[in-house]
Amino acid sequence: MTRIALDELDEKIIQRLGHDARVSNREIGREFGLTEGTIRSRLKRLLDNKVIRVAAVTNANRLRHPILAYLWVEANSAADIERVAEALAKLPEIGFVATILGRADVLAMTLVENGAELTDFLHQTVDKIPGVHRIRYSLGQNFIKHDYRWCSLVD
Amino acid sequence: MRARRDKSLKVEGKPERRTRGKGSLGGREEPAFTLDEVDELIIAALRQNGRIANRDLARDLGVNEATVRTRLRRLEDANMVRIVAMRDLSAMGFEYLAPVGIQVKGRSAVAVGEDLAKIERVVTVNVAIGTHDLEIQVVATGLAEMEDLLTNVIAKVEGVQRMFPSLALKVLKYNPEWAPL
Repeated sequence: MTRIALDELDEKIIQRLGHDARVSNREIGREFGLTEGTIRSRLKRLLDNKVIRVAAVTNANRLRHPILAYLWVEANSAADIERVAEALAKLPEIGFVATILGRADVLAMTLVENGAELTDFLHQTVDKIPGVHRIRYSLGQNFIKHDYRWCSLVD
Repeated sequence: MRARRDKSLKVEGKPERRTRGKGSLGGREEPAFTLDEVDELIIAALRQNGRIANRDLARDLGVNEATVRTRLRRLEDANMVRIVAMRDLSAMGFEYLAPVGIQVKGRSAVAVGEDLAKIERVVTVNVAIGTHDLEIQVVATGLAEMEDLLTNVIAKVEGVQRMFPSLALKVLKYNPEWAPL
């Protein structure tokens, strides 16, 4: 990914949209004393260059007992790792996938409401991915912090 | 994270069941209403593109612009959904992401987690069950900064006994669709 340089105005726009991204370009322009067109072109540049993404985030506290399951996946062989990670990333239930150094070959995260749902998901879906050898998991029970203002924009 | 939207959105109106954890999650207001199909469609569309104009969204869903506007305001006022800009980690220079498991001693995991949450470079903190008491994610612009954060900042937080760090080689997906708001 090519990285573009951000100036102070870009930072201000990102920060403004970090609170409420439904605000109109005209309104941001008025707040900053700039034209609607300036804001529009800056924003387009930020979005086109994948510096930011603007999207809805749903309140996890609306789930009855949200559990963030960390799946520590080991692949059958080193050659399978990439393929396993790609297969996991395609699953809509999974919000985070990375190949890692250390505790496993791949870390994936999914939000579930109870143990039965997790068991189903692991047995029915994840275990069937070719190349998956073993999955250990830890269960996050209490979100103290989840900074949703970060993401990864992968093509 | 996208998780069983169909199911999860039907649990509103049962605030008494939403007891969880110790502190740090308090202050949630009660859900004022149940989501219907139109609400769900609006949320789904805004997960794809949060800047879509109300008019275009209304056209796509075959409803009035006023309906979209009212529904969206209601969702946001009830703190069910927020539409926000998210920064791409690597575009902002954070090339290193470390998921770290932590074992705690002498203090509660929640207390240690709350201290860790104050560190800006610590982007997620979760009290976990399993072999580690906490699971956190740390971002850094370079390996030297990561080393400094782990050794001189996180390890020094009172109650952090052992750290089990990993380092992301390649992030294939990181789309927070659910978060405590």
